[in-house]
Amino acid sequence: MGRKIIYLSCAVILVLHIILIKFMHLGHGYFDFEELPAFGALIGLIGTLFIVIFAKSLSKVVTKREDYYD
Amino acid sequence: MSQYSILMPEMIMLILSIASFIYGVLRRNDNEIFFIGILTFLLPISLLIFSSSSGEMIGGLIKTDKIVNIFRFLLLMTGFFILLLAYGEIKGRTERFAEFVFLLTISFFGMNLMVLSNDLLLLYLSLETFSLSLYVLAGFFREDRRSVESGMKYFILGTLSSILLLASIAFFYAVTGTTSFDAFKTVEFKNVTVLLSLIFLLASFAFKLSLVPFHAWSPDVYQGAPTSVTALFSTAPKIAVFVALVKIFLSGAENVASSGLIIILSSLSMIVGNILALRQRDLKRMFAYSSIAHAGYIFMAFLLIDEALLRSIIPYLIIYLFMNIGAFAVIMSIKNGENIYSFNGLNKISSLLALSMTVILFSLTGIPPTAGFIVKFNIFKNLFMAGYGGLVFLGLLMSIMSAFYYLRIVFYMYSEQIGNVTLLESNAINRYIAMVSTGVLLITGLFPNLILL
Amino acid sequence: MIDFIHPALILTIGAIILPLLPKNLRSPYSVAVATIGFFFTLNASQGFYGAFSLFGHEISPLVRVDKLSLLFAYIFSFIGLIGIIYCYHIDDWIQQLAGLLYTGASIGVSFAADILSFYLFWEILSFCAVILIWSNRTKEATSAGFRYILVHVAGGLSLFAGIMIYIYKTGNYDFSSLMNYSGETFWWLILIGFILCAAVPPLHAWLPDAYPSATIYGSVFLNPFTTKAAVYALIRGFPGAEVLIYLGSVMAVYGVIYALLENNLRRLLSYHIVSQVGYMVAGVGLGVVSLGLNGSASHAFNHILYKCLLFMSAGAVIFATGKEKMTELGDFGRYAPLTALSFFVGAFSIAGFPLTNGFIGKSPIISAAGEIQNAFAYLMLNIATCGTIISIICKMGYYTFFSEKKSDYSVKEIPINMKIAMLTTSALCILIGIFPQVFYQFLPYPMSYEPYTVQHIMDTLAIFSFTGLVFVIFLKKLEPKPYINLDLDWFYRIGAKGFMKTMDLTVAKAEYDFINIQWKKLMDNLVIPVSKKSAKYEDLRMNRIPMFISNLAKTLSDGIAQFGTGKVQDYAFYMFGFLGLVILILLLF
Repeated sequence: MGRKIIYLSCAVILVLHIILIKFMHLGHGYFDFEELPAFGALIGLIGTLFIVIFAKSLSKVVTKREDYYD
Repeated sequence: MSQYSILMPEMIMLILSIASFIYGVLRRNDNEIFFIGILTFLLPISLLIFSSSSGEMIGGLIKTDKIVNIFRFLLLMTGFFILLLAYGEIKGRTERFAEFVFLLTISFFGMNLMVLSNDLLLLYLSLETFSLSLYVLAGFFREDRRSVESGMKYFILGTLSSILLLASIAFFYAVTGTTSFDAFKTVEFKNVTVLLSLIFLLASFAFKLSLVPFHAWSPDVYQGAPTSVTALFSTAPKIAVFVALVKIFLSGAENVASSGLIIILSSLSMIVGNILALRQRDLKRMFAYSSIAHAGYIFMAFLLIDEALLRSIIPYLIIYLFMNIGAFAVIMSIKNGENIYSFNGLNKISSLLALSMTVILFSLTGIPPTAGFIVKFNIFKNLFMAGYGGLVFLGLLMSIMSAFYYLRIVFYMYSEQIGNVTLLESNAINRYIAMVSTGVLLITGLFPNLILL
Repeated sequence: MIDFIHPALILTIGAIILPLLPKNLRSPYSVAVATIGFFFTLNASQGFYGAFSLFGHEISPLVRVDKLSLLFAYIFSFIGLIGIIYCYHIDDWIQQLAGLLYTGASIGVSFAADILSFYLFWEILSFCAVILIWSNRTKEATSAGFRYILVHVAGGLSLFAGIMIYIYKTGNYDFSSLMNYSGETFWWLILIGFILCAAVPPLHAWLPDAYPSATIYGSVFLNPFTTKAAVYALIRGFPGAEVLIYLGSVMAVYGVIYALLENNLRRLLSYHIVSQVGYMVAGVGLGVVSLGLNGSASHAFNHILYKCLLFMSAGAVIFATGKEKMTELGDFGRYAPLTALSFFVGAFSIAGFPLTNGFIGKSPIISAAGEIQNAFAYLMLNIATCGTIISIICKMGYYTFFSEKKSDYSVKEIPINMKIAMLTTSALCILIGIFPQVFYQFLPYPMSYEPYTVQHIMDTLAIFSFTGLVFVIFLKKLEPKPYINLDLDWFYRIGAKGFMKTMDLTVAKAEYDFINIQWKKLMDNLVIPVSKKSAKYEDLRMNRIPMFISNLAKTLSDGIAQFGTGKVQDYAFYMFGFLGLVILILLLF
């Protein structure tokens, strides 16, 4: 159930974002790369993926058992 | 009336002391007399604290400022302490407690007046006021041969010094036509008569301060007088006379080339006081010599001028007062305390009392971190800066020598032998006085800015 | 009439009196003191006050009240009050005292006009923090406290050295912008002292080490003061220092990466402090436009509110269950809906959801990065937002308050005072989020900025939803695991152990096996025989000197004592003889 809500809101926001910003020009970014369609969604996706993947690979090095320091 | 407001504390003292005398003679109730006596000191003290005014009055006979007010206050405090000390000692031994309190308060009235005075004649009168009371106080135990003898000796020699003072005033008046201190500013010091007048003045003051060679009375009198009176002798009159002398010097007498006389008097006092104190077994005699030596240290400061004189002498006087009151308070809280052997093993009986006596003796010797070190160092430093290196060296040497006789008492107090120390339970208040002085010495020793001007 | 009463003075004196009171009066009393302190802070009017003279140096003024320091003082004194209410029910005066002192010292830091009194309050901060850590009274807390104090002493020394050089070089005591001296040694020393307290990597490891070790009340106090005082100091001293942009951006991402890996509730939140302070540090670096500095100040203000809210909710969870690992919690929202509500208000605020104070607090910083065309900071700060969402709302929220129950914990009733503190703060978070312009007028520099633009709202919503998407995809992978993660404190924790071991093997061995033996030989064969010989010599020769002096004194004393005859006529003779001699000399010469 919860998953479906998230999928749905992602789709709605993606569409709204493209309509409002790209076609109705209701705002403008500071940088050129913000002109990409649905830049907010893009950075949400790529940024989170980056963080998750980076964290997971980092944890291979730094994650230890809880009595490590004892 | 308002011009008398300066004198208000002293007038209250006078009225109360006369009242206490009349009341005391009629009623003969020691506790009530003691209570009135305490009032006689505490009322002026509170008056001084709450309305200390400064200025001149009665045609310039009297002059006060902040420093004089401090010493009025300190003298009254001394009187208060001495009354407390005397209560246990005098009450038990004689019926005439009312007379004792009257003489004590009148003598402090005289000393306060002396500190206030700005005129040689008033100075003389106030000096006589307290001297006469002190003569009687010294011989107060009429059954005790030594007490009577000491009173007589003090009286005869004191009269001689009064004559010197009168002669000095007469010479001074002959030249200037006035007896006010202000005349020192204008007087021509090349004049032989004026010089003679100043020498006589110094001689008569030197007697009161027991500077060598005007000192010979003091050991005998200190030994013979009641111990509380000895405590009085070693503190209050000296402070009053020193303050009067400071006032005279600051009025202009410092311009006289009297440094030779001052050097001789002070160095003789330091040498004789310290060396003779070494051989004393009787603590009252020892403190007589020690106070001669201390008077010598203080008298050195008169080589300095103006600010430097004030800055070196006033802290020393304040601390000296607390040291001596404290020491006598300890002596008087021990049975047979004037004998040095009575201190044998005091630490085992009351370590607090032994500790406070140790602090007081360290302070008298001038060992840090006590206040005695600070004030002595202060005087020596100022003298050294003024170029009296040789005198400072002598003072240091004699201070080292003084360690022998002061610290001998410490040695006895902490010795392992079981002595026969007995604390006088009737004089429990003496111990508190000793501890208060110890506290003052330690605190001012650790925070010297409190005391150094 | 005194026109300014320092709130720090009230709090300090109030704190000192606290232990003297009877037990049942202490909590109401400390609330009263904190309230009075808060009102005095509200009433402080802008200006310069006080002067002080030290060793002939005149320091004036001592106290500076302007918009920047007032903003920080408001939030410090308010959060001190909230913290005191939060710990109303405990019977431990040490924590209440340290809390009041801590509040007072941080107000003192924000009001200090000269660098010396600033430093004094600065050091009191770390002192109070250590008391709060130690008051947990566990072995772990004790050693964490020692590590905390060692790190902060190092930072404090760097700061002190910098201050001394600064005073020596410039001759003034003002604490104002140091950017004119950019690049000088003392500039770097002071900067290092500040960024250590702001927990900038690589000097950050003390924070996630120490904060979770304190009591739950202690971490509520610890969280706002030290790091935000450092942010204040950076805004005051280093506005627009470019190095801070990069440090802050990296720090913001670094914090969330570690937070994502964490299992311990308060350790996770501690890494979020690192991340959030990263935004502020970056904002200070972007301070060439006043938007950046305003953003830092507003973010610090709002951060203190929602971060305390988060710590209070986490504290409530720990208080109720006694567990603080996500692997042992789960499904807690069913037992304490109010705590869950407060937590999610705090979580959405920290993530910067529209209509919360996090949104309006940090958008000026990101906009400042855009305005000066710094793409690196812009992207990093946005990525850090993604990390915040996934680690706090998704991971911590989901695995603590929802998901399935992972261990069998019992739930205690949460005291009313904790609920009051949490709800007050939640309400404030929402209110500030709804009325941003009311809040913006308290900011130190004038600006006209509207956070609620279509672009901004849409971007934020998109980031939220797509981060949620990623979380749903990685739900299994992100499940918390009962492990700990090493951080840079490894170097000094393991390093110290290694150092001790090396010492045992080298120095101690050399000391016992070699030096001591040689020393003993030296003593036996040389020093003792020589000293015996010299003592013998001293007995023979040297002792004669004191003997001579004492004999001399005795002889002198005997000689002079002859004069003390006890006869009055002799005494009178001495007096007048001397006087006659003096007069004779006077007349002759």
